[in-house]
Amino acid sequence: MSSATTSFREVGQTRTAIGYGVLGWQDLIDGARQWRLCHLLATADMRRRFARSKLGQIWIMLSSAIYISAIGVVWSQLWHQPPREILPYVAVGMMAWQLISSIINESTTALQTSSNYFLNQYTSTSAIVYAVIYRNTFIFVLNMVFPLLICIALGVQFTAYALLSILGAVLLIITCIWMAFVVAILCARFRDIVQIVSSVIQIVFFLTPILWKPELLPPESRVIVDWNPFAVLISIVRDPLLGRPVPLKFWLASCLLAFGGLLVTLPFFGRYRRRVVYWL
Amino acid sequence: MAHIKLSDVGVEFPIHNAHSRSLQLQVFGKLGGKLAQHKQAIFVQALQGVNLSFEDGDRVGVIGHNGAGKTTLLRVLAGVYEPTYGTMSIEGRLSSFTDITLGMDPEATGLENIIFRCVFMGLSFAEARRLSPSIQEFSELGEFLRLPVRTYSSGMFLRLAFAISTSIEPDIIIMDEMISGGDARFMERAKARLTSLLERTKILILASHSAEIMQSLCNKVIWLDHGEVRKIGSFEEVHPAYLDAYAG
Repeated sequence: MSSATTSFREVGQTRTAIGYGVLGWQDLIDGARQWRLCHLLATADMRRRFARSKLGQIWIMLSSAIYISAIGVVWSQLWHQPPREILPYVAVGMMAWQLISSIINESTTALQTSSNYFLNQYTSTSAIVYAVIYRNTFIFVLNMVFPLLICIALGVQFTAYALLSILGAVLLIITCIWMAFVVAILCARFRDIVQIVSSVIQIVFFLTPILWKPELLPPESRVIVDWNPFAVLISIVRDPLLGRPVPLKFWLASCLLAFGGLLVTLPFFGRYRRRVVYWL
Repeated sequence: MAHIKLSDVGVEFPIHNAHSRSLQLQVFGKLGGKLAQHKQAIFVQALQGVNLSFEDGDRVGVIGHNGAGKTTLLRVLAGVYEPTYGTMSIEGRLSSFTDITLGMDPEATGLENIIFRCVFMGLSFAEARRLSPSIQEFSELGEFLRLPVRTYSSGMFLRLAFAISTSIEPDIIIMDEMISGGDARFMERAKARLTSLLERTKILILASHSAEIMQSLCNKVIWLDHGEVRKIGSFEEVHPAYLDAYAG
């Protein structure tokens, strides 16, 4: 039953940016109404991934714990810093980065792999995007357990300020929604972009202070942190948690990224949300 | 009250082959030169100028040769394809039986799949759980329902899919050929269950190549030809004309 929840639909013609913006917003709402479907799509994928493995979903936590431990040990040797300085920083930053990068990477093929749903019943494009976000947010929450344990073990003091990280994560996820949407639609239309996106993500990883601290940059290179949206997004999640200061301009920039980005891309969603089915 | 109304609906498919799909040609096409000649998008006009209006009680059969636009029309009605032009309005809970296994997961058990499939069809989890016992009973799969669906034979799988998909009561049903499944005895029961469901539903849209099915189920027949509605009327009016057109 395709439109049980939206029992009345009318399809007409719009040609203005605002008209498309409204359609885009409707699609976002439509997808949210299909939250049950998002839940099933996301959990089915998790089931497939860990089907018949003994440890199942625990692997998510385990593999990131192994990764973080390895990097933490190597890094503290390399930079001659005590693990207490570098390990929590890398661990939390890495998990936030994994959230962003896996959402964007998965959205490059999200629509193509869901073509079966699109072709057989009315499925809003945003429902597919939400499923990607939902699954990765869930994995992120699991992933954060180990970094938090490390922080506690290494004696990081949590204050009320750390709670701002939750706000940071919300802003990061809102930003990911429109980014994932844009990437998903572009990749459905132009299959080369799938490859381009994965290369760009690798480059961004090195340009973003995740494995290194921005303080280490010489002043003339600060620009790659100050104008890097990903540096901002990682910082607002990681830094409050570790008691590191976050400049006010980062908070303003992240609000602009989350809501400004969403507003600007709405007409794009509205224009192409139902066109994608023709490209699959 | 359910209704479907299409005015002047058309659907064009862009053909994005490897060439026009690649960014390379999109970019270099803009730069001019020889490549631009290949850049022209090719469109297939799958439907054009379709005007249709259905209300409660309409049992609509769709006929036409292969490639006449039957499946495209069904997909437009199911909300899958948004028309390239024209306007359309649909009121009523709509169920599309083009893939009755949609949403089912081979790694999950039969019981879980009953819930999944129901939710995919638009029910809430609570409604799905309420329907579950009657679906289990009709499927006659017994203890197998506790096993992962990947262990089922394809007949058992279809049986379950059929039992679930026909357990809800939509206002509008869209079907591409009759659905069925299972062995001879199950098919008998399946037919009875489906027929009674199709009788209760407010609007039925069915594409089929079988004249008997169409005659027994439909009170209206649409003849599609090259994406256009060639004729619309009762089975007795439309079907002989359709046969004549392709006989000679």
